[in-house]
Amino acid sequence: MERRALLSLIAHSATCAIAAAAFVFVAARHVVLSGEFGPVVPFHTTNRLLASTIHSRAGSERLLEVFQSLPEKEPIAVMYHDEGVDTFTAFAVLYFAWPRKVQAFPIKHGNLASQMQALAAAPVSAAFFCGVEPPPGTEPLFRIGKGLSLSTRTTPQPR
Amino acid sequence: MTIVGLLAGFFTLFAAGFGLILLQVGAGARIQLPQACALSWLFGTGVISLLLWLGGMFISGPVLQLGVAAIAIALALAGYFAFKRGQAHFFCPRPRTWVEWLLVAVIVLQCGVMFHVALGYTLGWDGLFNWEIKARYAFLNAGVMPASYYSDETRLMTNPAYPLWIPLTELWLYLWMGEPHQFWIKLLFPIYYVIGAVLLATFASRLTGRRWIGLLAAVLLFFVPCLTNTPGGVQVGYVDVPLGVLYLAGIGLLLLYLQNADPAAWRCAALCIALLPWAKKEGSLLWLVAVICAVGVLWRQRRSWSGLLWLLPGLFIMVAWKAFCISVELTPKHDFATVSFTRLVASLPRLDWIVFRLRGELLDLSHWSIMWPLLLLAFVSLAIRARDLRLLVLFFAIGIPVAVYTGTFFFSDWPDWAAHMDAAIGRLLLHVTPLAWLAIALAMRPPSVQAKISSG
Repeated sequence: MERRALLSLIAHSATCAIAAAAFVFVAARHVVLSGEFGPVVPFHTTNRLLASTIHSRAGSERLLEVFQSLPEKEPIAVMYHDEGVDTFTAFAVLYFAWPRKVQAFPIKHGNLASQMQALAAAPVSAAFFCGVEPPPGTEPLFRIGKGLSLSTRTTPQPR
Repeated sequence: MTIVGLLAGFFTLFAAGFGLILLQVGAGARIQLPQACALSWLFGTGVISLLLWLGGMFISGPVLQLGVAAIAIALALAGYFAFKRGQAHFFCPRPRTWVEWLLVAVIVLQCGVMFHVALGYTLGWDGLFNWEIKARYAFLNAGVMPASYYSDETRLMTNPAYPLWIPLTELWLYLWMGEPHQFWIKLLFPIYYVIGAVLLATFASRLTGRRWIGLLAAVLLFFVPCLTNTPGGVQVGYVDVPLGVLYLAGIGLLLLYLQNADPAAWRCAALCIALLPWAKKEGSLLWLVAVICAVGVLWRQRRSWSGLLWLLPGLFIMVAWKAFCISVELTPKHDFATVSFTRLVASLPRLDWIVFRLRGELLDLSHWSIMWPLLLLAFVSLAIRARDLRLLVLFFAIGIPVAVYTGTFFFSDWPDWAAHMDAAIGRLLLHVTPLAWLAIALAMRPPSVQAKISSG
């Protein structure tokens, strides 16, 4: 009886040890331990991501500056390709646009022409183009970063 | 000043929670310090986020912040006086062998690594556009979630219907720092990992009677790849890991209550369970499962059914949140169709793919290593060696959420419902991951000790 209990204990311990070792062995190559520390700034996430999308190091501050010149109570429009980095840029515009409402005009399945028409008729104070070339003759047009431009329909308020 | 404010925010969160813990323990109680500190964080974030939400309906700005801070300090003081009066005392279990010292050292190192990883990453998509965005908007609105946000159809993709445990905790830190800060706020999430590791170690140690098993389970938890390499992990500011830790706390305390019949364990379990619906929408399902487990435990302990009253706060939170959403004319988001038998029958062709995808996820070594097969082995082992209510509670508490989460994809209204499942299933499984490790730890208990506990 004692021998049986001892064998049972040995088998149990061996199983646990092998299982734990196997788990760690398989997991070790997939656990991610790297990361780039800093910079320690308030817009750490949005700056880093805007740096990779619109190639602007202080993209968050730039967007905030732009929004300070736009009326708070009027909505804005965002036109973007509904895939990849353009979607992130569009969401970043939405993030900083508060308290303004944001009308989205995603481009997909060849609806560019209809979306441009809808945008032209939209009652917005400004339109952001994320990865989309504004229609010819759009003025005034301000380039915020690579692939991000702004067209205002009201005169920007000086700060 | 930002750092000073951040530390003040952390202090008030911890103080409120610690006071609440001290108010739960009975006279003469021995309070295990690591477990108490871990639960303090969960309770503190719950209390302060609820106070900000409710208080924000009446006041705002510095008055709101000072009012909530005053209540936090009052809770801490009330807890202190209750502790003194009841002559309870703290104890901190020290490692007894070199193996336990080594495991503790590894856990400390792993916690440090988690902080390093979290601070080295940006917030993820949901971390920024689902959770932190709410904290930012509330900060810009004098500490109160703007009512117009909920009915703003143009911000529907930020999920305004999601409850506010994490966003208002983030807001609390922003109020103390004086600004939204996307870098420092990331400290929140590895803290939840640390809490999870501490609770897993203490629960598993107490339930198995072997401290090294608890410590080993906490060490192994770190190696679940999903915790660091997927959207939903610790490093990207999602709520899934904190929710999993909260769920572990609730069910783990229930199991301790089942073992020791300690009323404080019951009360603390109930408070953790009450916070589940406040964390995320899926928390309502976890609340329901936890309540069913709690009813079973209460029945087994042959205790007065008045103990069920402690389970009501979670229901109040759900009802209050629902009423609030109706009052602010929340724009509904249609990720899922209405649940109906007709819809289920119509979606049956999805069954093959859903089962295939779930099996693929559970066996995905790059996400989970061999964790899920280990869990299956653990359940088989426990079923053979110790068929008791603890096994049933764990099986139910892990299995039902997995089954229901999988089943929801029959009702997915996404144009590409398969992509919906691809995007979500990994994160949903994180909700039961810490609890799965508690089950695995129980199965690691040596047979001879198992027989003694079962017969006792």
